[in-house]
Amino acid sequence: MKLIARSIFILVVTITLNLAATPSPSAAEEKVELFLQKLLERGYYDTAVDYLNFLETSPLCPKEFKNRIPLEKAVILIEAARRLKDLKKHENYLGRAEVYLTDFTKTKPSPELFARAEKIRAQLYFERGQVYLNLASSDRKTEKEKQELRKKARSLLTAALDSLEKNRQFLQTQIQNVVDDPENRAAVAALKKTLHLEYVQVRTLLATSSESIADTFPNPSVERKKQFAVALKKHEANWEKYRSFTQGVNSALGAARCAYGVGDETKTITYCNEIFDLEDVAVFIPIKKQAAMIAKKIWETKDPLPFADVIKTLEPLINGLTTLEKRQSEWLELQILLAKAHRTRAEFFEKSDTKDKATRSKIDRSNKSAVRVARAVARVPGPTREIARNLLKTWKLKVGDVKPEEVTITTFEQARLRASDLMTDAESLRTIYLEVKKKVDAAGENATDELRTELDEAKQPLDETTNEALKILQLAVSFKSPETDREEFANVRYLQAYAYFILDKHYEAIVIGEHLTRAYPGTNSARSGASLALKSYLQLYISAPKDDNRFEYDNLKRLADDMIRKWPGQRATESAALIMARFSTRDGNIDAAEKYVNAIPKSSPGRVLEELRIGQIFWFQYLNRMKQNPADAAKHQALRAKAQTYLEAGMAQITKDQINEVSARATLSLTDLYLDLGESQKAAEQLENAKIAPLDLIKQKHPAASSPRFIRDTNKTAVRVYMAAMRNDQANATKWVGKAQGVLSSLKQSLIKQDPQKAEAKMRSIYVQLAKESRQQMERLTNVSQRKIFSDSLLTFLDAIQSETKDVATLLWTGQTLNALGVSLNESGEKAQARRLHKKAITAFEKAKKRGFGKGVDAERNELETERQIAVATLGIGEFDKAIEKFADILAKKAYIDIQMDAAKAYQLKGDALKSANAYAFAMMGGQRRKRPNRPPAKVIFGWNVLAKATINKPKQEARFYEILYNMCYCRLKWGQLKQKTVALTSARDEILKYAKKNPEMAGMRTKFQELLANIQKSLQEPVTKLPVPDPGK
Amino acid sequence: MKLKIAVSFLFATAFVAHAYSQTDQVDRTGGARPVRGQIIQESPTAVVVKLSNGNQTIDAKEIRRVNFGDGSNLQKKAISDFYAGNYNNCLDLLDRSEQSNDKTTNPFLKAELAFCRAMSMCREAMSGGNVSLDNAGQKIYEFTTNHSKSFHAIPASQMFAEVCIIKSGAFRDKTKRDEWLKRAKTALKPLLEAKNTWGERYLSANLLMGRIAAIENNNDQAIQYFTAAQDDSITGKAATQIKQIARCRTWQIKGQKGDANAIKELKKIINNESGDDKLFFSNAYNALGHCYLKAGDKKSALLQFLHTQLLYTGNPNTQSEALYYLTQLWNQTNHPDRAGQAQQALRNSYQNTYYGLRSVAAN
Repeated sequence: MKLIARSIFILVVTITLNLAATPSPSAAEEKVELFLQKLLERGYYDTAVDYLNFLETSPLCPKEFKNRIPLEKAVILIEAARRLKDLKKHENYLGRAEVYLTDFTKTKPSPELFARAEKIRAQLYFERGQVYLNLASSDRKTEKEKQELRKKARSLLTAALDSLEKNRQFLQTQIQNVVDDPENRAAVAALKKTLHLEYVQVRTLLATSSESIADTFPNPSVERKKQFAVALKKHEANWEKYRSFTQGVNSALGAARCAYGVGDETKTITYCNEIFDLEDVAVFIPIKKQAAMIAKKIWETKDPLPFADVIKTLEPLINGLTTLEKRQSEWLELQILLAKAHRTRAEFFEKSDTKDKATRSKIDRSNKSAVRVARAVARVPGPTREIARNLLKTWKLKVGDVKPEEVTITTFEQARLRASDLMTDAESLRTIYLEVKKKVDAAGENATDELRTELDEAKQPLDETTNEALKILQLAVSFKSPETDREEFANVRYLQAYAYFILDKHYEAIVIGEHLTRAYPGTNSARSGASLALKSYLQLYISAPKDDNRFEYDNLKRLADDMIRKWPGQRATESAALIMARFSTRDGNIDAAEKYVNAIPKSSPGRVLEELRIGQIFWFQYLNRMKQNPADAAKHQALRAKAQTYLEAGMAQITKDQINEVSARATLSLTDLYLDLGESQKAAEQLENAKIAPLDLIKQKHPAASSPRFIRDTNKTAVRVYMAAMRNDQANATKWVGKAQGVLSSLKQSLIKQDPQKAEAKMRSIYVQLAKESRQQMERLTNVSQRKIFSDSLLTFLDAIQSETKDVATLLWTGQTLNALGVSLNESGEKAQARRLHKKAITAFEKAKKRGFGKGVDAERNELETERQIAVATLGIGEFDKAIEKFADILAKKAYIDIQMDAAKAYQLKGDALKSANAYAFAMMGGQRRKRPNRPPAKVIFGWNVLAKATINKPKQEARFYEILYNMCYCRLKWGQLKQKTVALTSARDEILKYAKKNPEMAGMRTKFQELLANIQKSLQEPVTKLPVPDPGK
Repeated sequence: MKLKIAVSFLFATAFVAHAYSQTDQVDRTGGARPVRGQIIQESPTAVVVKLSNGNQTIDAKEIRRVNFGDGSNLQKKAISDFYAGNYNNCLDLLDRSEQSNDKTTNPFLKAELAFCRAMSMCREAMSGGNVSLDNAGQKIYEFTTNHSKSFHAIPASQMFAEVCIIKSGAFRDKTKRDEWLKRAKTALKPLLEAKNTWGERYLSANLLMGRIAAIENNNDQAIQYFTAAQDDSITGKAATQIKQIARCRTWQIKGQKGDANAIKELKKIINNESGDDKLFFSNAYNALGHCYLKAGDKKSALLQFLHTQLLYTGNPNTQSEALYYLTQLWNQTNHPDRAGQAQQALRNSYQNTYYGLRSVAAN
């Protein structure tokens, strides 16, 4: 209502300004005014003001005009302010305009110019008032702010009202004072007419301003109603007096608005009806539309809808509109209302005797009208389209049965337009059909008969309408002549292809779609046709048997490649590149996938998911290669770099509605990737706070992150991220420890929820993996102090966990991790730090033992493993004999080969630490003789020699054998050196050469063996020989 | 239709002379000025017009149409409709003219009217109109025998050959089929001998002979005829079209013989051709369809024949050929409903085509 009032005000004032021109300007004045007008038309407001400044001092400027300059400046500034969005600037312009107006009125201008200045002042206040009123309607303002703004608006609008009232009184006096001049009656009559017209306009403005003041009061409120009542009276009086004036008609509209504001529905409808009854001329159409919009508000509150009134009013109005008018948003809203009215009418008759032929006919006619109108609205893009489609869907009428009026088609253009309309209908019907189909597909075999019937019912009108369109399209083709517009003909062909596509006649759609690319290159239809052909090939591919889809795939690829080549970067290539990228990723053809992803226009939303998909493929390839061949890490980094590029590019563009399993998984991959790069901060950011962050998705319970596997993987990654963060962000180690603990807890919960039986085993395997990774992470650190800080953080983390937890598996994990880290530190010579970790490990294991392992299947294994880990920790502390005792105790019960190896190693480490030849001897020959029930005592620690015999020539034990062989030879070297027994050294050398000849790779330990051989040969004072070279052919 | 007389001797070269009354006008092709005078003689290769200052001989192939001074309004209108392609109207007017006892003693006009009737009947029959193919064939045969010296004798003979080829499709029995093909060959003989006088007809005759040979599975001979139909010495718009079609059909036969280049060459021909020549494109796509069929690529073959059905309509021969193969291909690609639709279209709209009759005969 406010906007309407404002536009009317501006319209009236503009008219008034033109009419209020002073009598007969001179030629010089005309030139100045023309120039000013041209400047304003182009929006050069500043230049216009500059020009006026120049004129003020110019001797060439006519005197009469010079006097008016402040007034003209005010007009320019008001006009310029209207185009400003910035409130401050707007206020500034209007403030300046007001100053000019005041200056002007001080110059005691002629009564006519004074009246004009007052009217402009009223306009100024009105404009300012409207701005504040608009601001007050903003949802961002608090109620208090709104009240302030409304108050300000009211004050300005009241000022406008006062100014207009002064103007009215002045004009009234002027009219009364016009004296008849018998000699110049025509001039006097013209003056009277002009003054009277202006008087009418000022009165209209008075009513409009009063109406605007009503809007400054809260809705609903007594004051508002009161003010509307005041404005209503003014409008009514104007309407009564000036029916024959255009402004009078506006008053009727104003009266209708104010009556509605007052709450008087009868009066509102009465005034609306008076407007509807106006002559059917184009000038009244916008006014009738406004009246209809007011009436609509009242009709829509009625239940049932007063269909008779609505139809009676709107049908003739809408039928009289041009196609362009029918597509305007307010008219579309009114058409929706009309459609509803027809349907309500049908429902009304459906309640009566439906067996009666006349009644049935009425129902049928009403339904057809309802559908016809709704379908017309559904053809026009915009918010009403969806409403119309929903209506059609809700009504479930057989819309295909609704035939438009029979029109004889005799020209290409007629056929084209008719077919286009039918195809738009078909598109709407297809949307409905596809929605039902989606439901049926989702239900699968469980789809009810009712649902299947619904599908059939949706398909029938779709097919009928499309077939009808095809007939008309064929007719259009037959009308083709040399004069037929090429683009329009191509469009007809495209519609044919689309019709076939809708009918699932994909071969036909392909033939015409591809024909367009060949016969009509450069047209929009060529691109659309190609896209349609592509979709059809895809449909054929999907429905073809897996062993008979070569034709479809080959053609799909050929056409997609052709499109990408012809229209690079254009929207038409989007689907082509998308489809092929998907195929290529599916087939693992990463080079092709990359090519296609890069062919997807950057602006395409579809590109994002493909980038993420391909980024993930690169990432998985990298992980696989690293697993298969970790030694070539440098070679694989290119894959990781590509993965990073694509994942980051995708993540940068992704929108919330694109979150699905692919993007969720991709964000997790990117987190892993950052972790792999050692960028723990970035990894943590990606994990927690990125636009799409895996932990955040889980927290939101997003469907894309609901799979147990995703939750488990995310939690695993999270622990790794926090552990890495502990290493890199040591200042905040406590924070990361807390986060890691939280994630471990939820990880465990999710595993229990998933499968309580297997939860513990799964958790254990996760712990083992994490222990391994933390060791790897630490080994990556080359700097001793960094290693210390990292191990300190881990120690804090694990210590905090083990001190808090009561869970045996967690305790075992913390102990194992600490042990693994301790071993690593020991190997790098950081013995003091290693000891700290091993001691904490022993604490964890002892705590686990205290809690007990229960009686489950894993109890014995856990117990044994705990004893073993305690022995390892004891060894790490440097208590060799105690450790050896512990290993022996375990081995007395079960002679596991891994523990045998640990025990032999314990002797060996003792030898290293104490330079003890005996310890090396025990390492080789075994020790710890123990009593055995019903059997003679025997060594429970076998030593390297026996272990070598036990594992030799066993393919599955090959890696173990070479490790044993290495340690055995090492011990021989050390023992031989200490005892100065050359034979020990030569035997060690020969063993190495013998097995190197047999297996030059030496189970991946070739480098270590080479070093050992060199040491032996140096001790023997022999030249160092190279181990046999592996045969690359094997 | 009963044929007792071979047509090979029908084309005597001697002119037929006649007394004349009114002024005739001979409209010529290629923008040449019409010749006004009285037709006094005609032969399968020329017409002699008596002018005020002597006689003028006009080559038959240059004649677009003759406006006879003689004849009733109905007859004149019938002839006009014939040349405008309104065959049904032409037949209607001729019937009305006969009912009105419009008589003429002008033998040239008589021949013209007989020609218009016979040709209109053939055209109507071939395009699925309300005329039986047998009756149409009988009429055109009668024209070739009764008006063997008419300047329309050569076109009529070609039409008779086309009818015979179509008719051969009606028989599963090889002997009967061969009888009709033999008649067609006989009818085409004078055209094959008229290279210098009726160049385009000569090319068309070779095209038809190639088609006959293809029906007879005589591929080598088919290639010979199709090659002859591409004779460079004969030029003109129609000749170019015939030659292009012959090129396509040559590659079709080569493809059917196993030439691996055939598909590539046909695609090249299609891609190089711009414009919207429906007759050419429908022949080209059908030829390509045959090649894919031979290669065992049914889905690609189907697409080619669909081009003809959807985009290059208008010629009953190529349309029926496409529909005939589409019927088979839709079945072979598990679309029996579509096969049924194609067959129905073939039998309803193209019943008087070679493939229309063949489809009926096959069941």
